[in-house]
Amino acid sequence: MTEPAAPVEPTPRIFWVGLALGTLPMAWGLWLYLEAAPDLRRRLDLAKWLVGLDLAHDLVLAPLVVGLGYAVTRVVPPRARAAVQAALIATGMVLLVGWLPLVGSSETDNPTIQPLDYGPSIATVVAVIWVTVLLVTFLRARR
Amino acid sequence: MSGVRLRSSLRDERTAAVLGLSLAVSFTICFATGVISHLVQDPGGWFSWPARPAGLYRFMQGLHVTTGLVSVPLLLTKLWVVFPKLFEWPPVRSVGHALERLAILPLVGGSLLLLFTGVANINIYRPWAFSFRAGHYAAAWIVMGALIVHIGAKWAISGDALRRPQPSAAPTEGGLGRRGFLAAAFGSAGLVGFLTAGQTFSPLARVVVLAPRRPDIGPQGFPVNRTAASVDLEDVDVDAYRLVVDGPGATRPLSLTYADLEAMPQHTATLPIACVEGWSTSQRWTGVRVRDLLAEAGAADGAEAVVHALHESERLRTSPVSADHAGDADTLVALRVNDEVLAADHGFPARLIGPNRPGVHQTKWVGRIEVLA
Repeated sequence: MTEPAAPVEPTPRIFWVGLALGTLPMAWGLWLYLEAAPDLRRRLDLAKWLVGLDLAHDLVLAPLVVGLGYAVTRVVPPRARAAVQAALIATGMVLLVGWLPLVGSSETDNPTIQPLDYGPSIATVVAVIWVTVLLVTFLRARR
Repeated sequence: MSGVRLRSSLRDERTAAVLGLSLAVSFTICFATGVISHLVQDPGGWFSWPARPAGLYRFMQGLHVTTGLVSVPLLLTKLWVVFPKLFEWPPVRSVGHALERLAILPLVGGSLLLLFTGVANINIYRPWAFSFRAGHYAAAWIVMGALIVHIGAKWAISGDALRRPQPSAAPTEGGLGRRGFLAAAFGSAGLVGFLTAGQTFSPLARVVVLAPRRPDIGPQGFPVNRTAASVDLEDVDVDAYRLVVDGPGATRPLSLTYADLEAMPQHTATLPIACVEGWSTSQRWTGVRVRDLLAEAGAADGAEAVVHALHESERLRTSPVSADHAGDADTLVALRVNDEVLAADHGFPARLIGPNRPGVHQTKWVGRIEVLA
């Protein structure tokens, strides 16, 4: 980045208070886990998922969203840009949360888990998002 | 690095502070309800869980899961706002700053872990090797600790940003301004809540398209977590069936046939089944009061019991019944639901059902009540 580095400020005292208070639950959580996980493989597995999800966000999801945002500024005309951005945010969240029901992730043969035909329902939700957002934009533009 | 894009006017302190504050609230709700649910499932020691109010566990667990789902948009939009800070230069300015940044790893990684494992678990998708319960619970403590560190680090800057209204970030080239971005973030959170809360909040059952359960779909009109087929109890021979009430606290042990149970005084109660995975449903149950069975077996007032299922599967074979629950007039060994004989999936011939119990403790296919001394 091009800006000059921020001047070094003294760390506020409340940071050290938070650090002291926060370390206790963190240590407790770690201890609970080491107690509960019987072997090294499972112990490491939690760390693997914690770091892995962090990396998946930082290296995959976030750059993807940055790229998508860039594409929107290039492709979408300014007067529709806010609407498209809002609709993309809502659509992304709906798809993320609805992904597992959509693909039928359940590992059991219990028919009461994910009992619906999620494709059409989620498509309807996405359609409603886009219609709503575009309608709001249109009405605002007229006012 | 596409520095131009990353310097969006939305990525400011105030947007980060508003989303951060809302996450602090949602995570605290999730944490409190989660810890209580964890303790309820492993009672004993200093913690005891009352039988009343009947719907408390249902409310808390519905709140836990819905709040967790709603946190997904809040967390991801928050991470989008602060993403450029990951590339902050110089990376470390002081010891305090180094520690502050170090605590971001358990905070962000742990938060993603909690929301991912939570959402996957309710969808019965468990691609990890650790125990969900142990991992989710430990991660919750780690995240709450890291959150406290983070709040300490951001206290001054966020407080400033929230108190002093900053000029609304000008929308860049027609894009969302701060207000619009926050509206999209909170709108998405609200939408996710609206489309999932129906698995526990029945007025919204018809629109529950992002959550894996609908409270009105299943045998006899409501879901199950465990099918009879999964424990080989699809065809229990009702003539051979016995409900045994014994144990060190039973001075007159009983062995009751299904007909014996039907002949005892029947009591009807409307009670929820509330699964730890966040779905719940209220039904009308009819059966024999547990306290009548205990009295018949010569148990002392205030006796505790352990209920055993007919199957041998290690998971969820027994559940503890505290004195408070055993003594409650609505804690039943139910034979019927909504005036029909229980379906195999709902625990035929007999199941335990009582007020304010987590679903895993509403043992199905009950074969034995062990009265403790």
